[in-house]
Amino acid sequence: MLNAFIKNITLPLVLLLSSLPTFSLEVGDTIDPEIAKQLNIPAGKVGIIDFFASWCLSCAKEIPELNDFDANESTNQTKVLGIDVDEELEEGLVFQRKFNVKFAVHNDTTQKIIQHFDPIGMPALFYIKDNKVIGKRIGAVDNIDEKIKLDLAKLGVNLL
Amino acid sequence: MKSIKLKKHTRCCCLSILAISILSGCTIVPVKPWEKATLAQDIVKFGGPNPMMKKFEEHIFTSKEGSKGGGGVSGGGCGCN
Repeated sequence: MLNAFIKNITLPLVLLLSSLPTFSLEVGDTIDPEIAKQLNIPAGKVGIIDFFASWCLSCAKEIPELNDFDANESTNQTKVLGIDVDEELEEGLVFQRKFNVKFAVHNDTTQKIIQHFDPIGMPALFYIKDNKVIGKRIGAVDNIDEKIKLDLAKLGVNLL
Repeated sequence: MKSIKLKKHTRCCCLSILAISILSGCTIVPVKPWEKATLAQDIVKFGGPNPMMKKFEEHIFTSKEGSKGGGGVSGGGCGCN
């Protein structure tokens, strides 16, 4: 009886497990404590996490807008953090210098952070608070600074 | 030498697992969005680093396939916002 069950279940089970897709972090998901430690977003603050790379043209377009947001709109309730996912550190640093990135950047050369977030496109923007994802925007977005302001207003964050 | 005799269904099971293990090596693992640094290089795109060749190959592709685009890796509407 048991042998027959094992015989019948093995193949479907293996096929099912091998075909399971991976999922990106969704709103409400908790961030792995080790990753949260690396992001270092203070408790109570909304972390605006922007994933970018030097080869990503849309990311480059968003950098000046994020610079503007960080300089003019960011308050003590928010923290903008860029995650450069370039595997080559030097390429990432050259890109950051070229686009004069003014907000804090973490160089994720091992790509562990972005693997944890697993966005379905680049650039990717996640809002996190108290180690939980509270919002996200994936892909190229025009006027991202304005969109961030709208998103934060919806999340109940007061800007300047 | 004493031969190991397996029951028929156990043998089937083992063979299935072996076959799946071997065949899984043939599966295509999709490139993640953050792993496209190499694909973003000019040399990998239509026509390589030569802009004239790029235009020429894109023209041929458009004519033959009846579609255009898809030559780059970044941006693109994922329609998810």
